[in-house]
Amino acid sequence: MMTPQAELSTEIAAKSATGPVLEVRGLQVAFPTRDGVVTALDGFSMRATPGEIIGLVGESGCGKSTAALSFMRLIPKPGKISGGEIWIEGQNILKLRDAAMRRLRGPSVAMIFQDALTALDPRMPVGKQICEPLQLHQRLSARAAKARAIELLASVGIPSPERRFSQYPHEFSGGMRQRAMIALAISCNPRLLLADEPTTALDVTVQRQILSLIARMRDETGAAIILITHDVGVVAELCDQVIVMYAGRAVESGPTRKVFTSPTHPYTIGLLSSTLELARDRSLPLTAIPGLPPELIHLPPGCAFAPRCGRADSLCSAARPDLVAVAPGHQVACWHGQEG
Amino acid sequence: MLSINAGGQPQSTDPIDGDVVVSLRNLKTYFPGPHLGVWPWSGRTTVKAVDGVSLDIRRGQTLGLVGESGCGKTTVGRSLLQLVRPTGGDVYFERQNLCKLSNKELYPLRQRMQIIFQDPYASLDARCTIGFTISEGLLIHKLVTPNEVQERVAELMVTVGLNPAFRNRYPHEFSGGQRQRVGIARALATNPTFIVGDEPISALDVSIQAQIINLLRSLQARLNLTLLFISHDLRAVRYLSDSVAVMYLGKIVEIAATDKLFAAPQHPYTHALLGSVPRASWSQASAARVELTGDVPSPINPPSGCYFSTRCPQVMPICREQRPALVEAQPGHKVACFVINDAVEAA
Repeated sequence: MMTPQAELSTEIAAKSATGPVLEVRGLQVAFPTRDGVVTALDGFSMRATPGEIIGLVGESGCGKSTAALSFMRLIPKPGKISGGEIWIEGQNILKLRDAAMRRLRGPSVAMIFQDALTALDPRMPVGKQICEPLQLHQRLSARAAKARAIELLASVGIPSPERRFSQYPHEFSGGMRQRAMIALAISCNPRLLLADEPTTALDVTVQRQILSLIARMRDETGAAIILITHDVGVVAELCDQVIVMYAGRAVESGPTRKVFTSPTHPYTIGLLSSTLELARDRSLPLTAIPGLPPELIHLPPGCAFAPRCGRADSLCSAARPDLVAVAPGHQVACWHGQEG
Repeated sequence: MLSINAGGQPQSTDPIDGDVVVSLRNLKTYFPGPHLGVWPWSGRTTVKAVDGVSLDIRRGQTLGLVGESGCGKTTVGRSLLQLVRPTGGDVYFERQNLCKLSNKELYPLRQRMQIIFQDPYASLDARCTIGFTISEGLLIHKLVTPNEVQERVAELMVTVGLNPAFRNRYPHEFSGGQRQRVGIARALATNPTFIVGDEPISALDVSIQAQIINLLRSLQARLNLTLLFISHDLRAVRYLSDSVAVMYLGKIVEIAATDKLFAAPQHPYTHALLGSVPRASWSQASAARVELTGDVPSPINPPSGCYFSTRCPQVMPICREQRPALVEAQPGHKVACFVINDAVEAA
């Protein structure tokens, strides 16, 4: 028999282990510009549970980075979140005051940025930057924070962390900087880790190291990880779930294996078949998606992909499809999704 | 497919096989590195960006040059075209040694060798219309009369899939993929026999990459172009190239026909490079991987012995002392590694 207290704590543990860390409903992000309002995200919904790696994949300008920034509430002005809800660990972060949001950044949600050289402060030693959140959020003493920061640097695979602690970002190589960024992001054990193209600026052999590190972090901390990338191969290797984005909306989502073995949305099909692969038959031409991604200011009224789509008909250019389940957990936003 | 003279020795007098368009013999390009001290008279280090590269490219073929950033692959392309004058070695282009020619003597040859640059945003003059950008080479080399220029520009734009009506627009009005098409049209304008593609697709989105790759392939087949395709993307290189050279810190570590190299890589670095490529297919996702530790060493202060010895999973004592030479392991497949053979590089 368990004591009531133990029962309660296991119940809480069970709840926090299964409940979503992140729940986004109908998110809209708009950037006013001289030429009109750019709707970077329009009705975007997703959820993430602990221990899950979710891939957000799409081409530049599809809104994947905007999504991550809005989860941190870091959308640069004059852009703003114009609609929808973002729940992180049961709190609607859009209703929080700035100070409360600041307390959330670090322990609840943290971000690994694409370009570590611009994301790190060039005037501050790397170690000190990692100490900062530890002292602020976990109220560690300067000495304890330093010990913990060195531990973190070691855990992300930086050799001689004591020496590296007092070095500046420019003294680090690209891969090392990205590791330091990861150490900084995981310093307060966030339950939700956002990784925005963490390997795009890196060489393949170093990319491989960083991807393994991110997978290890998930196993060790049980955090939910959202991995933003344009590389379909990275998603295939690392992610449990994938959300394919196009022009500010999710066009297909589901378990990675399912989406990649039976893609249903014509854009997903196009993206997968235009992806270069080592196993591809060289004698066949690549099937490219014709045309260009739409400009977000002048979105077509119907499906945004319709002008480039081979299956488009009058319905597609008239009305916008919503995400509909085609199989358990597998959703597609396409009028012709059921036929495929 | 890949012809490298027996013994691998550069024979400067040998009339290279007429089918070979470009051949490099022991090409070296060094740059002055950081100062050793704070004083103006204190010496400078040398960055050996390209350190003894030899290769041949046959007519109508594509040689892929892969490696990580800083390994010297771009410098090979630029020294080949004499955009950077090499420090040593020879570059033969259609049997002429470019390194021995003056800039003036090179001038007429430039018409036949062109380059497509990596960054479609930086490589087009923002203040020139794309029609002017494309026509510049035509006018300089007097390939058309001024009356025919517009006609030829329109023809080139159609060739690369651009609407000729856009010829009076400026680069900022185009997307990345379209600008890269302008860059390709500019390279094609003078009817070159040889083109260096310096990471022509790496700045583009996936679906646009596929469009440009298909374009390059069809142009090559139609115009019988010879290509040096420089890229860090092994997937693109495999798809476009007939043979592949792998570079590491200014040296070629392995060179072979594409199918051979990808089916049976010999050098441990090639192994690691191939293992690092993310795969989107499920059929072979579980293949064993070699994960390298550490970063590429600095070319200012390269390791003694084999440059790869600091990261090599199969390193042996000899690797730290002597440099392996690039020699044939199998016919047409050259490797520089002591694990494969014991040839030592001549000092």
